Amino acid sequence: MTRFQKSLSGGGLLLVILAVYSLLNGAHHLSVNTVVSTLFYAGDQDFIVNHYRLPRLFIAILVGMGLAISGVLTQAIIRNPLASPDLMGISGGAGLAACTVLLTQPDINPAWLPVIALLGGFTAAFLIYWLNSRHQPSPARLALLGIAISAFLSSCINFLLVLYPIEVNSAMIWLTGSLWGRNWDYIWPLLPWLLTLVPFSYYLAWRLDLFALGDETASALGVDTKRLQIMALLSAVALASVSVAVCGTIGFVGLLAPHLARLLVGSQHKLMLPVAALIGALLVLSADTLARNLAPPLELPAGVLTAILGAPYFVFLLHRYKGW
Amino acid sequence: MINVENLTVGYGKKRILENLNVTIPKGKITALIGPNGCGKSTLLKSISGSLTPSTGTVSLVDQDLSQLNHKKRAQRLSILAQSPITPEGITVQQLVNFGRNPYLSHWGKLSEQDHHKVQLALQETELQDFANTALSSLSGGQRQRAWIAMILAQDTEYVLLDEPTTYLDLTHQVDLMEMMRTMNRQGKTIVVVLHDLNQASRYCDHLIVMKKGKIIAQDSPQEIFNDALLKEVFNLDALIMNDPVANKPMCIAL
Repeated sequence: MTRFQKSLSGGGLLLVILAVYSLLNGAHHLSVNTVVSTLFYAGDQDFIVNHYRLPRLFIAILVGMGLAISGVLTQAIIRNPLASPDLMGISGGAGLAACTVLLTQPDINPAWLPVIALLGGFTAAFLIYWLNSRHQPSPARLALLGIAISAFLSSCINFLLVLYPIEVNSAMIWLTGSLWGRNWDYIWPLLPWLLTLVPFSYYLAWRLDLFALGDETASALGVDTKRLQIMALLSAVALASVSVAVCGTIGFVGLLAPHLARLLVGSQHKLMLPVAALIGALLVLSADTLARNLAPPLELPAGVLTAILGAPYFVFLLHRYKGW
Repeated sequence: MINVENLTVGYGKKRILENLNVTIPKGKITALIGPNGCGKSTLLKSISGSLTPSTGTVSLVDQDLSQLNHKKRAQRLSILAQSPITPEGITVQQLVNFGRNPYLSHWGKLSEQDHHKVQLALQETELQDFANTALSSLSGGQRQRAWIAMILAQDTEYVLLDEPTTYLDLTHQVDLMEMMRTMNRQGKTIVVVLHDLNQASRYCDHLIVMKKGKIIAQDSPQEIFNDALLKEVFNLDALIMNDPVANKPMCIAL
């Protein structure tokens, strides 16, 4: 077996185990029999299994994939290992937009959330691009700019929370990232976006290998670098935004997953992208499962758990990176 | 031949080349020489299409290059950039495979013929044994060979080289110049930016001398190497004599 096959099958197995565990456990433990029979025939536990844990399981997987692929695309296009949608402020923009609308229009149809988050994400991306384009490109400047914008956006979210203290619970989601209270209503609007963006990203994947050689060489090898850059960035912003629309800014997944995937299978995007997607799903699912099971019935936000893992790694990268 | 007509190109507001006209002969090795910042690399990048000129055209024979899409252009013209990025972990084979990109379909799958061309390129550069070695672990000379192998796999009639010898020791410089000569004998038209005048004289058939974005002279090395021109372009007092090995002119700074 190649490293790619090993990584995919190992990760897949881990995902199945984790999925089963997350269906069985929570504030209320269920037996395997109960879960299986509930999945197929409904019954007493219908609400817990089919309307609470199962949709959360799917959302965790979808969102994890979305954030991870978004991270792969951003890092490739910006040629910066420190880039990721949350550190660049894209997730923050999407979160702020979704949060604003949800607080001011609490009865809004969840199907609108991805669209609103997209607007926020693109605005933030544009802002970063505009601020950065006036200087010599530098990985450090971009990372710092992203962190500054992210901090600004999360303080905006904080401000909103103060303005609307009653809805604070649901809005907390956009601050720290949580899958709390996420049911099927949130999956359906997410699906069409992911079903088009994920295959499209995979379609772009091998071109990103060429892009890594530098603009001049990639262009000499027949790659339309400007078009590739625009298409990949649009996909990255869209993937991050629709993910954030569902469960807020679950930080560092877009940074960690591509790095881990690169360690496992190398930097060829055709191999690295699916593995990163799988790792992203694993990260968010395990964070959410832990969040539900650490102190039941209390819930921690999943974003706090990914940050505990991600923040030290980011510091490590900053320390190791000698590009400035 | 490559025809450059009324080319104006620059970065931002600064114009590097203005209304430049030049013809590069087919089937020969042409060197672009001139002091630092004279615009020779800019001219090369405009020909390759990685810089978009504000006015003017670059054409191969009669084909205006801006009318071709990226892939079609890459099937006719290849370029070795001055300092290409070496992606982490990439192997020699993977790099040489990239040379086939202009011929690939949407999914980037290499055909039997593509693999064959890659093998040929590896053989010609004597890198077969290093096919699965990481590019970053090779010596500077071997690495430059790997990039040349990529260009060979691209198999274009026009090859542009941007200061290919800059970071190499003398042995590998000679090695590279010989590879360039072999490519030329196989029928490729070569345009190379060189700093070393004697190298240009020795290996190239045609020299284009530039200064401050203008073309000062273009001719064979025998015609170009004269006291007045060297003084004018490089501000250099030099002794010109015959290179006994290549039977070409060479110069020694005084």
